[in-house]
Amino acid sequence: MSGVVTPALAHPTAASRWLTRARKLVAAAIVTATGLAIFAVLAFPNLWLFLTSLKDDQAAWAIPPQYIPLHPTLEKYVVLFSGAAAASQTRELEHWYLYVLNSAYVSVVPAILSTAIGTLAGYGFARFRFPGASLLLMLLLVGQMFPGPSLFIPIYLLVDALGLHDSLNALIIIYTAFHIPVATWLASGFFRTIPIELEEAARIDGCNLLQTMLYVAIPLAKIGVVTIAILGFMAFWGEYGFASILLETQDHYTATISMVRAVSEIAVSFNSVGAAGTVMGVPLLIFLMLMQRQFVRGMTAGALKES
Amino acid sequence: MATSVALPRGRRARVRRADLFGYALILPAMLCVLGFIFYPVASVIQLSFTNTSLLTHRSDFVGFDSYARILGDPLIGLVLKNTAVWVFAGTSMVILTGLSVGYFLSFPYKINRLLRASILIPWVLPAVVSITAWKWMFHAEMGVINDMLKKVGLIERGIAWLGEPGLVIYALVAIATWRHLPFAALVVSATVQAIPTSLVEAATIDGANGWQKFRHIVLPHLGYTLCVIGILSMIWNMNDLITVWGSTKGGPANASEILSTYIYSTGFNSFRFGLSSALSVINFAVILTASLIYLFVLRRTWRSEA
Repeated sequence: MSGVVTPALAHPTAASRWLTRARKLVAAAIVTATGLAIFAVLAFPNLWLFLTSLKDDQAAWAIPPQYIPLHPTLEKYVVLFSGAAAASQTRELEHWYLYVLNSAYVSVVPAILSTAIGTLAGYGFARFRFPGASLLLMLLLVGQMFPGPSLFIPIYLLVDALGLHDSLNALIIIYTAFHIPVATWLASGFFRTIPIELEEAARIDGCNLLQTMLYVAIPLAKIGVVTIAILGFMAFWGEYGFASILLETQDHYTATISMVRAVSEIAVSFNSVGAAGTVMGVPLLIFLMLMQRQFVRGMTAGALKES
Repeated sequence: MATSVALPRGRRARVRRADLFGYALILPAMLCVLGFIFYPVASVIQLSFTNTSLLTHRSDFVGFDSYARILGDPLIGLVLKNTAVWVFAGTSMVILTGLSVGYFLSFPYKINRLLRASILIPWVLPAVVSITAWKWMFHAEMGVINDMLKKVGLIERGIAWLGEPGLVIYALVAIATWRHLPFAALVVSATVQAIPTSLVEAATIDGANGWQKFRHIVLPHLGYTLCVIGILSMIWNMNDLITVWGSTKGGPANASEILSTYIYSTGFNSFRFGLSSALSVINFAVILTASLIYLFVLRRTWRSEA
């Protein structure tokens, strides 16, 4: 209340306030633009493949490309599932529905098997102490790194020796084995987050060890168990290397094999392949929408624990 | 801090039975892993000392013959060089982009809700689908990347991204980076968000600017995380067949031939299993080295979990 407020001082305050606001606006615009650019890089490639799948042949090969299909059509999807008609264009995708069924078979069954085996082992590691446990866990941790091109030859010969050459069941066995290390580690982590008191109470109430595990512990880790199965499904659904060396007859091909063959042709029709790719991708995008949080937890588990 | 549901602790017989139950639980898992992961590892090493071939139906011990033949292979130098570029450029790019995007994600920006919802897209979609999408975008005549570059005036004629020997491996590195970015970014952002806010606030009060806070507070906390990302990315790239095979099959003129594709083609196109096994052992040695470093970095985790 001194009454000495000079207009000369009040004026710069208003100006600087305006300046701060402008600066904030510009900063927010830069942040949003950067975020949108990252989003575009993440989402555009597959969106573009999907848009291409909605074009007829003429539109798909247009130069410059049609960013938005002018005459969207489901033609390629119809052809994909109608069988023989597809032969006129992309022979590799001719029996697409069969390949998709094969893929489903070799992903769902090993997902269930490896999750069952891995969940039991994870529970064993989380709740029992036995000599050599840390060594075995270490073997699992390092063993998950090995499946890859280095094992193509020995796995091929092993499968051959087991009499499973060119059999989808061979893939079921090796996919199951390959997912067990990850499944065990994740399951063990999930069980460790469940308070042990509930299981102790069940034991005191007269449950035996098996009942305690089946009726108390595993139901509590349900979301974890489902996550492990879906992570497995995702890995097997898109697996290429082992599927391509172990399966020979075209009737046994998985969707991945036929897509790689289709995209390796000299004149790829990207709208047909795009339709096939969209069919392959949609189930996984549905899983992503349902289980985003669990995926993040599953994929970052282990990488974050420093001490 | 191992706990046990074997109650009561005092009675010996009970504990004994609990031990057996524990072993029974892990037995199937360990058998599968031994039979289908560790046995094949041993078997590939043994095979690399033979001349096993599906064509000749022979499998004789030939010592280091396959390795000697690799040394004499005119392509091997190029393959190893390509593999080195593939692994090191790939790993550096994953660390660099993962660090940038992950740090961006760690701020409470509104746009990050959209980003968090979409960041897993490259990770969940099957590799073959994304590779097809990228192959289409990289197309020399009809590709959108060339079209966009032309529209902004950076180039006049389309570039054959996957057809140019000097360019192809880097284009493939871009695809691999894009596919591994979600993991790297999410792990980085989770680590940054776990940094005590008091540290950052103290630095703000002391007048540190954004770069200084990143450089002196955030980055030192990320050492462990970036190390894990780097090792995993190396292993993933060494194990990756489909990115290269699905887009270029090692071409043009072997410019994108890497160890994994070379193992695949010597093994299953020319059926020379001995030679392919020797290449597999080299590939495996790199993965084993990286895995042992990984085990060492994570030693506290696997020791404490047991």
